[in-house]
Amino acid sequence: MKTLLTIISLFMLSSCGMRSIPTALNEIEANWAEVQNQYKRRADLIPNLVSVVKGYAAHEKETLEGVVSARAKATSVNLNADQLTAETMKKFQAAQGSLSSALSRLMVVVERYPDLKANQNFRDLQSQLEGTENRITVARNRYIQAVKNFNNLVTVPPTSWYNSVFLKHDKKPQFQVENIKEMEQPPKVEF
Amino acid sequence: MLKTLHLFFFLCLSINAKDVPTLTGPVMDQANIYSKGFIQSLSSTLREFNKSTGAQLQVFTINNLADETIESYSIKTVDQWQLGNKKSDQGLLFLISVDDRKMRIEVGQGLEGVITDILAGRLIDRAKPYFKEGDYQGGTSYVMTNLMKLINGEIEPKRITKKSRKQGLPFWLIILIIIILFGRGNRRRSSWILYSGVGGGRSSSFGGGWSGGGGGFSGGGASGSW
Repeated sequence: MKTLLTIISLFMLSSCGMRSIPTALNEIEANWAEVQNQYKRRADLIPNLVSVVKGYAAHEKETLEGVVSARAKATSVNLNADQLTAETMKKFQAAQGSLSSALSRLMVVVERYPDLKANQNFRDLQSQLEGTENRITVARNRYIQAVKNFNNLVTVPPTSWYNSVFLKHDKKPQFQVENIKEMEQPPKVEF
Repeated sequence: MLKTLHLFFFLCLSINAKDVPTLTGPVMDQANIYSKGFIQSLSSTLREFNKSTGAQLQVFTINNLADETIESYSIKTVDQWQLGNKKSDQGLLFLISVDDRKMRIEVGQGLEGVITDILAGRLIDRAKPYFKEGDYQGGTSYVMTNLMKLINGEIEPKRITKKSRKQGLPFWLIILIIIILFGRGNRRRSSWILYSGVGGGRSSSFGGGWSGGGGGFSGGGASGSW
């Protein structure tokens, strides 16, 4: 009788958040690690990219320096999964976002140098960079899904009851669209 | 509970997006760009390759992406099919969208070391001329044979070098020849069917089951348009 009661109560606990909330939290940690991992991978590619571009487009100094300083800034913002709050997330995103836009400015500049674009070394770096950007997108999407799952568990009953009594976890921050301001303005087309 | 929740979210998000079909064989030709003979020979090659190396290579052609990017449709497809097994994650998808003139090699986590983004990018670059000319079969076998060659190099480097020394012909070249022979010649196709003992078999019924084994992908690979 006693064992039956424990089994039943265990079963009830398992469906009310005792297991699912920590599991979801671990999922977030793993996904966040992957996000950081991929951003780091991008940062690691940049020195090579800059040196190759320099060889062909040395007088695009401003753009190149923009990338280098944005990279330095982005690599200085590190965030562990337990430090994730809306505020730290905003900082992290701002740093990575400015690196993204510096990189896209560089890629626009590169269009003017056909020799550079034909260089195999540059093409390889470009496919690495594209691959990494895609990995970042995938990692971010998985993080978003994991956070959505976790936030649902801590806010939607019945699991939220268990959370508010025992675990007291807050909601985890989501990624926001990076360039809302830019998106509100219509794109400039120059001929 | 978590899994079902996950699945539920996944379904919620993909209501408006293009659906992923059920996995039925190693060559899924929804765009109808391959001959039956080509599908059969490539399928059996890929099955053999899967048996001998554990790597699960998949070809998938579609007509169009319906406003999705090829990267997002590709990751959605491999997330559903889970190519490769759970331990080694050696899955790979070669996706071709004919109307959009786009293709992508999606590399599973276990193969990222051997098929780097650089190599995938180069393969795509070099397959483009085939696709430009409308030679989809030529382009596909170019990509797949080279992928198999790369994978073989890492998984069993010793065996491959020994074999190629003995036989004079590398393994991938033999596969390429087989594909060319059976993919192009219609007359030979019927004998191939007899030989393999499956009359008029399609990719779905050819050679037993073909399903993913829980392989993980993280967005590696390369895409290109022709």
